[in-house]
Order: sequence, then C-alpha cells, then structure tokens
Amino acid sequence: MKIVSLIIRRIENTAVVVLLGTLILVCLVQVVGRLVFKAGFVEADPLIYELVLWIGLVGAMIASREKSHITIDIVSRFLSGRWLAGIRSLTGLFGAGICFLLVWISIRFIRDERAFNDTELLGIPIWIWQLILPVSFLVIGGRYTKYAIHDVITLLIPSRKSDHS
Amino acid sequence: MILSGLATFVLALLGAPLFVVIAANALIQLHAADYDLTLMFIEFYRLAKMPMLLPIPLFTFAGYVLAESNAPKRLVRVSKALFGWMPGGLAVVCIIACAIFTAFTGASGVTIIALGGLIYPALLQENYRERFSLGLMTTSGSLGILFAPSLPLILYGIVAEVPVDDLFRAGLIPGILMLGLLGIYSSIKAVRFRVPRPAFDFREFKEALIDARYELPLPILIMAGIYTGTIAISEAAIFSAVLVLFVEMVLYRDISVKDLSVIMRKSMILVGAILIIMGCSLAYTNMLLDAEVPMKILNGLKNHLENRLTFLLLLNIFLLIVGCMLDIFSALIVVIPLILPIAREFGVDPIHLGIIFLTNLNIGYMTPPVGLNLFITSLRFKKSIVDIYIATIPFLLLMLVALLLVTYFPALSLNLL
Repeated sequence: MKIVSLIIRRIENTAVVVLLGTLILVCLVQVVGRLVFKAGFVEADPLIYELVLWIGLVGAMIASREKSHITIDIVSRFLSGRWLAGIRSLTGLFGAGICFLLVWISIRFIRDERAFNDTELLGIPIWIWQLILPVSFLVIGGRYTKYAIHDVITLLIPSRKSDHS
Repeated sequence: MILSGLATFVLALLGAPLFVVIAANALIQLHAADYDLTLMFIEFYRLAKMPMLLPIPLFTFAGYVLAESNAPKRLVRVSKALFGWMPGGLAVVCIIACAIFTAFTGASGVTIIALGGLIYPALLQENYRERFSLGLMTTSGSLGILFAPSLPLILYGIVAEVPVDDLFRAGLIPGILMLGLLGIYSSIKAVRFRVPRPAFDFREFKEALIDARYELPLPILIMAGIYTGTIAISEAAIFSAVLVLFVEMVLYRDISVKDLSVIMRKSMILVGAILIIMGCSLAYTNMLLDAEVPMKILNGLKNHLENRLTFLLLLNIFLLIVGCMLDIFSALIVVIPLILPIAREFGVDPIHLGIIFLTNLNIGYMTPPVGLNLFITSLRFKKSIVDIYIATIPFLLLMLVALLLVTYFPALSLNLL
C-alpha cells in the first residue's frame, strides 16, 4: 500500500513538471512562430488547451494529497479529537463516494466519445486524452478513502492521533 | 431535491471539498431532471476547449517564481524609494498595481496569484498588520474590472448591446472612487501601524533602480504590449512566464533548477484546486439555468417592487448573492438578459446598469462565505478561510459604501458620456 502511494506520488511530481514544461515550450514556439514567421502549428492550440486540463487535474490530484482543495472550514475549525475525526470521516467518505461516482460516469462518457467522436490530437484519438478524467478522480477518491479510514480508526480508538498527513 | 441540496450544503460547511459538493449537486440536478449523467463530463471537458484558461497556469507559475525569488525585495525597494514618503505608500502601490493588472487580465483570481506573492510579504515586511494585508490583498484582487480594457466590461457591452467605449468612460469615475476610498483608508491605517516614512532619497532611488534593472522592464513591456494591442492576454502570460524564468534563473540566479520543480508543483496545486471547481460548476450552472432558477427568482421579486429605489436595492442584494456564487463571465451572460428589460421598466440606464452590475460582482468576489477571492487568498497565503473573512470585513464595508454611491448617483457613471 505504501509503495503504491509512493509510486503515485512520484508519477504526479514528474507529470506536473513535464506537463507544465511542455505547455510553456509549446506556447512559446507557437507565439514566436505567429509573431516572427506568421505561421504556427495547426494542432498547437488544441494541444495547449488539452495540456491546461491535464495540468489542472494533476494539480488537483496533488492538491488532494497536500489537503489543499478549497473548503469552507467554518465548523471543523472549532473542533478537535473525536468530534473532528467523526466529521472528517463523514466528509471524507462523502468525498470519496462522489469521486468514485465521477470515475464511473467519466468512463461512460469516454465510452460514448470513443464510439461517436473520431477527433484526433497528434494522431492519438481524443478519448485517450480524456482518460485523465477517470484517472484523476480515482486517485483523489482513493486518497479520500484512505484519509476517511484513518479518521474512522481515530474515532473508534480515541488514543490514536487524528492527524494523518 | 431541496433536502439533498441542504444535506450537501451542511457537508460543505463541515469541510467537504467544494468541488465535491458542487459535483454532488450537479449530479442530483441531472438525475432529477432525467438527464444522462454523462452530461456532467460533456460540460467538464469544456475546460479543454477554453482558450481563456491558458493565462491561469502561466500567470500562477510566473507569480510563484517571482515570489520565491528576491524580486519582492527589489521591487519593494524601488516602490519604497518612489512612494515610501507618502502615508500608506506601499498599500497605495498595491491598490494601483492590482487595479491595472486586473483591468488587463479581467479574471480576478489571477491578480492575487500573480501580484500577491510580490506585495503581501512586502506589506508584512513594512510593518503592516497581517490581517490588514490579507484584507487588502483580497480586495485588490478584483479592483480593476471597471477600467479599460477589462474583459467583463467588453462582455457586458456585447450582451446588453451598448457601446463598449461608453462603458469604459462610464467606469472611470466609479473605478477611481473605489481606489480613492481604499487609498485613504490604507493611509490612515499605515499611520496607525507606524509604517516607517523616510524622506525621499534620490541616491537610494537610483540604486534601487539599478538593483531591479532586469525586473522593472518586465511589467512595463508586458503592459505596453497589451495596451498597444500588440499582444493578447495569453501571449502576455506566456511572455511573463518565460521572461520571469530567464530573469530569475539566468540573470539573477535566485532560483535553481532544483527549486523549479518544487515551484511548479506548488503553483499547479492552486491551479488544480481552481480548475476542478470550475469544471464541476459548468454542469451545475447549466442545470440551474435549465430549471430557469434565476428567472423564477426575478419574477417573484418583480411582483413586490414599487419604485426605482427599491428595485435598485433588491438588484444590489441579488447581484451580491450571484457574485459570490458564480464567476463573473457566466454571471454576466446568464443574468444580464434577464434583468435588462426589468431595469428599463424602472428607468435605469443600461450603461449605468452595467457599472452597477460589475461593481456588485466585484464585491461578490470578496463576500463571505463563498466569494472566490477569499478562497484564493486563503490558499495562496495558507490562512484559514475564516481568518480571511474577518480580515476582509472592513474592506467589504468600504466597498459597499462605494457601491451605494455608484448605484444611487447615476451621474458618477453618466457624467463623462
């Protein structure tokens, strides 16, 4: 389990650097091409937009591991110990449930796209580019499950610390 | 449906991630309306077809690089040399720089991301209290949307079918009024914080300029490029990212290759947190529209309105709520066609309505509990959202005063036409 999360971590860290680096490079080539040579690659613009989505979702995956997703922390701010663990397990399970639901829905979405949308980007069918959708929600949902399990354990065995970072 | 909406709202208050709550609501609505749930991702995937998103990761990255380098120190040195003798000098620099930046970028989160890393540490360094600085940053994040060439103003012109150049002229005095109010408040605060006020020192000014010689041309080049129309916002964003990298890594050597991957990761966490909410909101907003929710609310209100003043007051309240729920562009496109005919009925000039609309949405960005600027400031400076709420309240009141003036004195907007 530890090894899996370590591998995912490594992949995320590498992916975000590679994706952002590629984005900046492609944008630069495109802009310079347009300004200096009055020419650009036809596929550069759709590639750039796709990269922005990928960066966003990989960023969102990392945000789930760093607990940096946007929340309204009005109630949990005033709680500690078992109450906090109880509420965290509730919101954690809710988050995990919705994320897994989104994985299932996004797979159905991609199946439709695969059947009816034959657009390609860099020679790769668009549905392959879209695979980042279920992958990112799966990872985020997995993390929320892991945190929720920790919180449930804290709830049942109060002597354990609730912090699982 | 109301029950499940309430349940998700409670979960949001308990600390469930906002994107999860929005996604859950969107799915509930889709299910209730008997639509296929894959619509969720048809909408979400629109993120990959939006050219206007590109500046978000690029400006965020550039801002984080600047923040991690010694640029804030150098730029603060220059601004201190230039404005430090004034009471509240740096706060005034913050207000003006943010307003200009927002005018160009249009999307308000970008300002806090790109300039916040620069100005916030400098404010603290200059003895401004943390709470004041956080409030000022949150407020400054959306200040400039009334100035040319702000995208929301252009969009309003298109939707409401009024001349855009009239809108720009109309926005000038209300915009300056807001900057002025904030400037005066900041100066009073600066005096109370005993921010150091040295006399103007020409030699120090010259040395500060030399120290910052590689960085200073950056904003000037980028803004001149946009002003003259030579480069678009997305091009400005890519130039910023590349130039900032070159200046900080090669010329100043403030950032090493090893730092770079950490900075990339940190900055993209913020981008991810924002984009995933946007993606989930796309489906949710569409479902609300599909159910004609905004129209029903407005029709209900229409029966109880007696005159222009009550209409304007209700309009303000309504727009403040809209402004803290929806992003400015979808709010514009969705709400304007609905309220324009009613506003006409009550004798409100469409140009004036545009200025009221944008001033409201501007304030909506910093209105608790869900104004976007609050979240961005909270994430960017790693403060609890409740701290940000408290920090923003005095600024919010100040902006509400400006809003009332702009709403009830149409001459402020219509004088320059």
